[in-house]
Amino acid sequence: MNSNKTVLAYSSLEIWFHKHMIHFVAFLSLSGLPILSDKFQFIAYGIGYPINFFTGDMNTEHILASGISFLRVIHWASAFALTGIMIPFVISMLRKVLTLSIWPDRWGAVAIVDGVVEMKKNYIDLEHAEFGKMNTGQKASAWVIMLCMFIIVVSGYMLVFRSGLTHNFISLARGAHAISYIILAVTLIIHIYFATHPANRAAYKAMFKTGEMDADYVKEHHPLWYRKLQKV
Amino acid sequence: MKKTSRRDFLKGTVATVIGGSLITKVKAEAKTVTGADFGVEKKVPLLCRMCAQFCPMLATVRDGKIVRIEANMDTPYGGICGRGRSAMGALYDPDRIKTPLIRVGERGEGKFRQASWDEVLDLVAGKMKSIAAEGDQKSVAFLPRFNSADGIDNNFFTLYGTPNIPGYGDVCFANALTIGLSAIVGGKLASGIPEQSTGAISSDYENAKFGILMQRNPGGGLVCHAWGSMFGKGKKNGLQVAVIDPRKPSEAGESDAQWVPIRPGTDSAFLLGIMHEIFKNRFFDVDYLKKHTNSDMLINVETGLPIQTRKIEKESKGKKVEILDYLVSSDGEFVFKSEAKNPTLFGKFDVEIEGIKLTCKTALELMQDEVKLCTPEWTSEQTSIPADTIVKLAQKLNATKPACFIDRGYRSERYASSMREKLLVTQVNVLLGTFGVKGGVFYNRSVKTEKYLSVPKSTEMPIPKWYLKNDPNSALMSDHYYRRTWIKTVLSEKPYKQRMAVFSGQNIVGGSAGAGEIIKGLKKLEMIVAISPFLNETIMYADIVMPDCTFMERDEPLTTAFKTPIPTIAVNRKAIEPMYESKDGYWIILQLAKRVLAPEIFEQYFGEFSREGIMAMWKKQYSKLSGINDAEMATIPPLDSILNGRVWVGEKHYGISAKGTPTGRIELYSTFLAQKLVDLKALNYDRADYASPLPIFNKPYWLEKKSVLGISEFIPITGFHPLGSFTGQQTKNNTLLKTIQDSTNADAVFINKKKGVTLGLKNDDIVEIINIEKPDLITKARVVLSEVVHPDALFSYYGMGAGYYRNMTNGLRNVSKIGFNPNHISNFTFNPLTTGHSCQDFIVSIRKSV
Amino acid sequence: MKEQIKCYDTQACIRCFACMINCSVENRVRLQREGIMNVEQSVQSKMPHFNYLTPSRREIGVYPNARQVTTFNHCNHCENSPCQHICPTGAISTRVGGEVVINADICIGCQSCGDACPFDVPKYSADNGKAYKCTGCYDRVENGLKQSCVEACPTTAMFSGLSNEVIEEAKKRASLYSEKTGKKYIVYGAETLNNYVGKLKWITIVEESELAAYQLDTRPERTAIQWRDYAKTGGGILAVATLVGTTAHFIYWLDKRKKKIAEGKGDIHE
Repeated sequence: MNSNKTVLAYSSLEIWFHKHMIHFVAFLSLSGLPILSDKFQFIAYGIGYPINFFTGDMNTEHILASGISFLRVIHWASAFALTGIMIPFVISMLRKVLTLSIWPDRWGAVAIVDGVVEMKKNYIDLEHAEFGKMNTGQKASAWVIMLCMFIIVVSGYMLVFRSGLTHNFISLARGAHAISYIILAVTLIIHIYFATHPANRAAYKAMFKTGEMDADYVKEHHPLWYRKLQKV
Repeated sequence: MKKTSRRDFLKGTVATVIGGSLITKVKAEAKTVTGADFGVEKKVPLLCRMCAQFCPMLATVRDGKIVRIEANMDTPYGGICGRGRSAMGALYDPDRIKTPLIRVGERGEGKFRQASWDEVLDLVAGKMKSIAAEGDQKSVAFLPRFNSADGIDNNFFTLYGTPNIPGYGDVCFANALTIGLSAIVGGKLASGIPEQSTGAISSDYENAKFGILMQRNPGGGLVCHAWGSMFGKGKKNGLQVAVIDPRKPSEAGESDAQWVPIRPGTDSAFLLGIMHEIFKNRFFDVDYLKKHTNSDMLINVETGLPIQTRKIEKESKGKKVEILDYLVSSDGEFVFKSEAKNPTLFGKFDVEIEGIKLTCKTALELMQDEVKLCTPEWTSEQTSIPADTIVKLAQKLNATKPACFIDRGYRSERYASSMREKLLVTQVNVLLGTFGVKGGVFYNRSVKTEKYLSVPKSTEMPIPKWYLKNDPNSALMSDHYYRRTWIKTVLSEKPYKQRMAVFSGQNIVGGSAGAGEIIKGLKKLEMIVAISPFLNETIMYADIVMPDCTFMERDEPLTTAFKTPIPTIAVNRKAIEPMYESKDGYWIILQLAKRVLAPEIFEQYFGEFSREGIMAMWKKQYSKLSGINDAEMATIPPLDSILNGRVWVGEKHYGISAKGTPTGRIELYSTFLAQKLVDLKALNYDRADYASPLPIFNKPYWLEKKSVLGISEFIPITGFHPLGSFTGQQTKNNTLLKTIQDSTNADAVFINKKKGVTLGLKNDDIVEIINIEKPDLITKARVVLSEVVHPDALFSYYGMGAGYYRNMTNGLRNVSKIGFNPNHISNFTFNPLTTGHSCQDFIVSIRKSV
Repeated sequence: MKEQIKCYDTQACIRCFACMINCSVENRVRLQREGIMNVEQSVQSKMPHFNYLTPSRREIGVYPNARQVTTFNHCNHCENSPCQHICPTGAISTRVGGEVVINADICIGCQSCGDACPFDVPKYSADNGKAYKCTGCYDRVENGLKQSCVEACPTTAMFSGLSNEVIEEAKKRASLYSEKTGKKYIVYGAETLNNYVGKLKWITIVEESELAAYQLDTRPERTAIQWRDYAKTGGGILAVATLVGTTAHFIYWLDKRKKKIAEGKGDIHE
C-alpha cells in the first residue's frame, strides 16, 4: 500500500501560525488564569515572589500584586503579538475560505447524526470511518474555537482600550472574555487530547513537521477527503 | 516704590498650584492607622463667619495650621453647614489681599500698588485729621460689618465726631422684617419706631406638625445654628411643609415637601387669601384672640384710630408700666378693655363720644371686611396659585393649629410690598393662635453682656434723622441700617456733603440694589478706604485697601447674638496668627485712633484695651449678665471655661408677650401703624396705604408697571446656595466648595423650561440679561431650563454670579467669569416707608447671546 | 470592634452638602498626614476625586407638579462586596468595622472592581493608575470617631453605629414618616437585596414609591459578571470532566486496541 505519494495537509503558514499560537495561548492562559480565578493564584505568587525578593519589597501582601502586574504585561504583550501573527493567517485563510474544510460536506440534522455515527465508528469502535479532512467534531470545535477567539480578541481590546466606555458596558466585555476563554479552554483540552493521541500520529507529524501526510493513510482514514483530492 | 498691578501682587508669595501629578503619591488607603496618626492637635473655638451667623464651631489646629473644622456640639442646636466646614479654603485662599494697597489707576479699574502699613495708616489718619481741622467730621462715614473690631471701631468713629455709621441692614432685613413683627408685637423704640431683631422669633420646627415656608429655607439656607438644625430635627419628627416660592428649593425637602409656585412678589396676596379662608371658615382661635390681642378694639371707621383711649398703669413683672386702655363693646355696653368682662370680637356700633356720634367697628370686624374680596379666586388671579390649593392650605393650617406656623422668612428687602408680606405673616400667625405657643412661632431668648465702652455721642444730626423727619417715603426707616440712604446723601448732599468713607467688610457695590448709582456716589467721595480680607466689587473703587484678617485669625468679644431659642454665650478665639501682612480689626482701628485722636482721649478710652488687649473686654462683658433668670445665672461657668470653648446655654421658654406695644397686648390691629397712616395721609404721601394696619394688598413695583410679563421677561429672584453666602469671596472663591458648587450649577440662571424652549433656548446656552429700564448694562449668564421655576421668575443663587461689574473676578481663580448679580443692574429704588432695597422688584429681559 | 453601618435619611436631609464638603476635607487631612501636601496646598487644589460622596440632581415631573431629586452617589459597602470578590490582587478587603476598602499599594488598576460594582462606585485614577472609592473612614472609625460625612451632618440625616441599632432607628423613623405622611417609607438596603450584593452597610430611609427617583436599585446587578462567576464554576467542573473523559477514553482505547489486535484485526493504524 505504500505508494510514497503524499498529500499536503497544512501549508507552511498554517504550521508556523499554529506553532506560535500554541506559545501565545500558553502564555495567555498562564498569565490570564490568575486574574480569572484565585485557584490559579499560585502562578502569580510564583512570579511575584522572586520579583519582590529582588526589589526588596518584603511585604507579603504585595507578592500577589507584583505577580499579577508582571503577568498582565505578559498577557498584553502576548495578546498583541498573537493578534499580530493572526493578521497574515486570517488573510490567507479568507482568500481560500470557501475551500476550507470547516464547512460541512452536507447540511442538515441527518448529516450531523451521520457525522456523529461516523465519529462513534472511529473513536469508540476503532474502525475506519467516512471522514473528510475534518470530522464533524473537529469542524464543530473549529467553529467554537474561532468564535471564542474572536470574542476574546474583541473583548480583550475593549478591556485594554476602555477609556470612554462605561463600567456597565465593559463588564459585558469582561464577562464575554472570561466565558469565551472557559469554553475555549475546555475545547482545547479535547483538541490537545486527540491531537496528541497515538492514533493521530500522522496528522501530528504533518502539523508539526512536514505538513504532508501519506496519501494511502489519507485514503484509509479520510476517504472523503481523499476522494475530493482525486476529483481536483 | 515698585508699582504692581493687582494681578501681579496676587501672584506673589504662595500662589502655588498643585498639579495632578502629586496625587500619584497617594499612599495606601487601607493601611493601619492609629490614634497617633491624628497627631497632636488643639481645638480652638470659633464662631463661623462664612455667612454671618456665628454658628459655634471648633477648629482643629495642628502645627499652627487649621486642618479641619467641626461643629461645637456644646449646645442643643450644635451643627454647622458645609460653608463652615470649608473655612480653611477661605483662610488659605491664595487670592486674599496680602498687603496694604494704594490705588494707582482710575477708580473701578482695580490697579493698585503695594504699600506699607505705616504709609496707608498715615494717609488715612492724615485725611481724617484734615477733615476734622475743618470741623467737618460728619462728612466721614464708617460702614462696618462682620464685627471687624466690635466694641472699639464704632466708638472710635463716634469719638472722632461723626454720627454716621451706616449699617448694611437696609439691604437685608431693615425695616420690613422689623416692622412686620414689631408693629404687632411691639419692640424697643429707636427714633420712635419699634424694633425687633432678625433673630427675635423662631418657628418651632421641632414641634410643629405643619408649616408654610415663605422667603426662606431653614435647611441649607443660612443660620444652621439653630434654624437649620431645628428644621432637620423637625423633619425627623415628621414636620410637613408647604413651600410658597417661585422656585422649588431642595433644601426644604424633595419628595416630601409640597411646592406651591407663586408669581414673584405676590406673597401678600397669598396671605390675604389664607386670611380670607380663616375668616370665612372661622379658623381663628377665639380664646387666643380674646386673651392676648386687641382684636376687640373699637376703631373709628373714618380715621382708623381707636375710638377712645386712656392711659392706665399696669403691673408687669413687679414693675409699673403705662399702657393704653381702649374702648370695647362688652355685653351691649361700651367700656374700657381693662374693665370689660366679655368684650365682643365682631360688630359695628354707633357710639357717642363727647357729644359726637361716631361709627366704629371692632378691629377684627374691620379686618374681616377688608379681606372679604380676597377670595381664593381673586388670590389665584394675583398669585397664579390654584384656588383650591389656597383653600386646602388654610384647612391644613386649621387642622394642625396651634402646632403650625407661617415662617417669618429673612432677607425681607425684596419688593415694594415686602413690609406688607411680613405684617400679614405675623397677623395670620396671631389669628391662628400660634404665636408664643409650642409648635407655632415663639420668642428666642438671649442674654446681654455688659457694654465695654461708652463714648459721648456726636452732636451732629445723623443722616437718617433728617430723612425720618423730611421724607415721608422714609417714615419707617431704621436709624442705624441705612447704607443706601447714605448713598442718596452722597449724591444729593442732603442734609450735608459726604467726603470720606471707611468700609470695614461691607461690599456696598455688590450687595446693594442699584450699583450704578452707588458707584456714581462713591466716585464723588474724596477718599474711600476699604478694610477686607478679600477682593470684592467695592474694593475696586477704594483708594486705600487694608488687608483684614479673617475671624479665624483674631480674638473677638463674647457673643450672645444668636438666632437660638435659648440664651447662649460663646466666643471666637484666634486659631492661628494673621496670614501674610493682614492685621485684625482691633489693631487697625487702634493704629488709626492713635494717629487721629488726642493722646489723652486715646488713653482715656483705648488705653486699657491697647495694653491688656481683648481680655479687658471679656472681663468687663462677663462681669454683668442680664436677661436670664436666677436658675440660669447659677449655671454660668467661669470666664475661662467660655474662653476655652464651652458654649453656655440657658432655657427655652414658650409664652406670649407683647414687648412694648402701646396697649401691652398683641396688636393684631397695630395702633402704631394706624397713627402713621393718619400722619402720612396728612402729608398727602401717595403710598400712605403701605402703612395701613389692615390686611390690604400692596403691589410690588413691577406689577404696577406691567400686569403681564412679556415672553422674554422675568422677575429676577434669588436664593442662597447651600454652599454660598452673600457677595463675599469666602464661599465664592473657596476651592473646597468649588466641586460641589459646579455640580449644582451655582453660577447659572434658572428659568422655566417651557418658557425657555419657546425662547429657543436650551440648557447651558449663554444668555444676555438686561433690566428693561437699564438696557445698557448687559450681564451674561449660563441658563438652565428647569421644571421647578415659575414662568415669571429668573432664579439665580445669590452672590454666586460674576455680575455686570466683574473685573474683580480677574484676581479670583475660582469665581465664574459670567453669571448674574441682580444688584448690579437693578434700579436704585427704595421700598416705601422702610427704605429697604427693592432688589428683586424690577423686570429683566433675556436673549440668547450670539 | 463590631460592624458599623451608616444610614441616610432622605426626609431629615436638608441638602446642605456639609457631608460632601467634610468628606473632601478629611481626605485632604489624610494627604497632610501622609506628608504628601501641606495644609495650604491641599486646600488650594480642587481634587474633585476626593469627594467620595457626590450629588447628582435630576428633575422629575413637569411644572408645576415637578420636583428636583438629589441622588447621593456613594459606596454602599455591600455585605457580599462584588468588587472585593473580583479583585485579582486582593487589594480590596473588608475591615473589622465592615468598611470595604481598596488598598492602593496592592491595587494594580485593572478596574475589575468598577466593572463588578452594580452601583458604579470605584473610579479609576489615570494619575496614579489605581482605583479609589469611599473608605468608610475606617481610620476614623477604628479610632473611635464617626465617619466624616456622618460627623458633618447638622440634622442627623446621616447617622451610624452598630448595625442592629442603626437599623432599629431607621425603621423607627420610617414608620413615623409613614404614619405622618400616609405614604409608605422603607429602609433600603437593610434587608438582603440579592445574592450579588447582599445587605448594604449604607442604608437609606426613603419613600417606597421614590426608590427609582433616588436611583436606589432594588436589584443591583452586573449580569455579565454574575455569568462570569457561574462560568468559572461551570468551567472548572467541565474541565475536570473533560480530563476525566479523555483519560477514560484513552484507557478504553488502549484496551479496545489490545482486544482488536488479539482478535487479529490488527489493522489499527500505528
